[in-house]
Amino acid sequence: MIAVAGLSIRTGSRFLLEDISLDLEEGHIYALLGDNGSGKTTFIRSLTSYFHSYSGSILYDGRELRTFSRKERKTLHSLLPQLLPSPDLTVRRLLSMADGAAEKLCSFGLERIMDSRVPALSGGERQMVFLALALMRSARLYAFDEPEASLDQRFRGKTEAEIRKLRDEGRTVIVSFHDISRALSVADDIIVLSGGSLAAFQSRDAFLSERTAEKLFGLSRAQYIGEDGREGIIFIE
Amino acid sequence: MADCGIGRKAAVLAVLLVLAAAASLAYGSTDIDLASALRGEGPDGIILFSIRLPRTAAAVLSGMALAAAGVLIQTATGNDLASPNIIGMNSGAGFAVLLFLSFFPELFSLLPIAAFAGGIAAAAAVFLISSLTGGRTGRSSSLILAGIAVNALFNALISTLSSLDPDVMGSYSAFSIGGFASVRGSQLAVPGAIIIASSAAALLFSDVMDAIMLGDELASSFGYRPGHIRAMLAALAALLASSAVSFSGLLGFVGLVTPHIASHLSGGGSRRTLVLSLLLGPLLVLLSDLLARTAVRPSELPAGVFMAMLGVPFFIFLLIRRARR
Repeated sequence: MIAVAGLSIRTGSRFLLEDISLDLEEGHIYALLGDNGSGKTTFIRSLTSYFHSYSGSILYDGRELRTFSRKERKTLHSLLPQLLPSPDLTVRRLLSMADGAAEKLCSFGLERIMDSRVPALSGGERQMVFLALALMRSARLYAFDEPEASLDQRFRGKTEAEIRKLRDEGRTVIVSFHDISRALSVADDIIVLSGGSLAAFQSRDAFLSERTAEKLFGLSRAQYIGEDGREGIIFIE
Repeated sequence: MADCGIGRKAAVLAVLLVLAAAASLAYGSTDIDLASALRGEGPDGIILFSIRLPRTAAAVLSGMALAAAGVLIQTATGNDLASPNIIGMNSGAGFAVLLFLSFFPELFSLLPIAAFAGGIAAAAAVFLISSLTGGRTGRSSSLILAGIAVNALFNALISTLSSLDPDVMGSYSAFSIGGFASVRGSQLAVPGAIIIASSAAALLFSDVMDAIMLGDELASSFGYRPGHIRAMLAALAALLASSAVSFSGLLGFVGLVTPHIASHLSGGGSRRTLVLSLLLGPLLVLLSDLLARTAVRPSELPAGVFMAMLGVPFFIFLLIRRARR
């Protein structure tokens, strides 16, 4: 379990995160929602050792994050950042940083880009390359910062399937989303940040039954029945 | 495609390097009889062992140092326009040399130490300013901005000194163009040892360099402290470049252009790029020095001149090629 208590991050006098407390359990997918600038990326960064000074605590199985050694941190958290780097490496070399990542990329049907250099990839291809790397690192927490932003429908489906697979293997997964409907289709629990503070932390069902999206984001709910008979919910302005 | 044959590319470069070194020993501004020179006989032996051997060794060492420093700085800053000059090395070393020439002209033999100290001091100032302005993660742009500021300051000081004491300008101008005309073997021992040790250290850090290329967020998630790593890589670069500057003068351009050619050949990846740079840098410097010595025989031009003449067109070619890709 990852226990966050009283976590605050600030630059100068401005709080990026303020007094966040929540527990993340194994075998759960947590969706992270919030407007631009609400602190989603900062929260994901703080869980993945980006900040070495923070107030409050981040406990991985009872041990403070900043007390882990470099080697230990490497297997603590795996990250897919929102802004992807463009290192001058071949895809093969990049993916050699995690065992099985090359095979994972092939399983996405992208073996043709294996010998390309990362800067030459399209946005979606690069997203899938870094997803493969993040998926195949061994870690306790898997954090994906807006993994679907530059993906088409097919790769979104593959991404979500992989995220569910991690959960089914008993890992802790946190994923930030822009789109509430996508978040609800994947997540077990919903975390909403607003202005750096925790606005809501509840199960998917409670999020829906308590009409949290309507209250926090001022959205309206639309229910639909697909051609296959499945019911779904989308949120509209 | 770019991945295969890296060993072959390195082997070809190594052979070319050996050939260039042999040529650098055999040819120069005067013709010597190699057979008697190799037996250590007469003036030809003196030219070979006391002049050309140190000169060749100096060219190889400075090529290694500046090329490796370029790779390290470009990785540390995440900016492929960065070179050892950017962290204040050249202007710091230049100012120290000028200061020394103005006040202690009789202690000419201590100039390399002054250059080394000046380069390290300028680099240290750049790191200090950058760490004060870069926030907790050590943003790479803060290093470049600090470098620009420190360079501007030292260049102003250089102009001041040279206006006040025009006599030193002659010696200074030879130093600032860079070359190996007056290198002696005894000058090379200490900087040579530093260069070889630092190059080996850089090779050991190549995995870390690959990780830092992934950006601060991913590098942190792999457990690294990006700010510390950037500072460490830049410090290693400062050590390498200052050592080279101490005997070769301001031969800066090789540090910018070699990493680009090497990464073009290597297909990316820090270790490969570094290995190829360590072969390519000396090759480029040796060829420039060889041309400098033989093009206008029996007179000589500084190696730095040919460095620019050889390197710039190729560099521009690479830039255009990359833009079209």
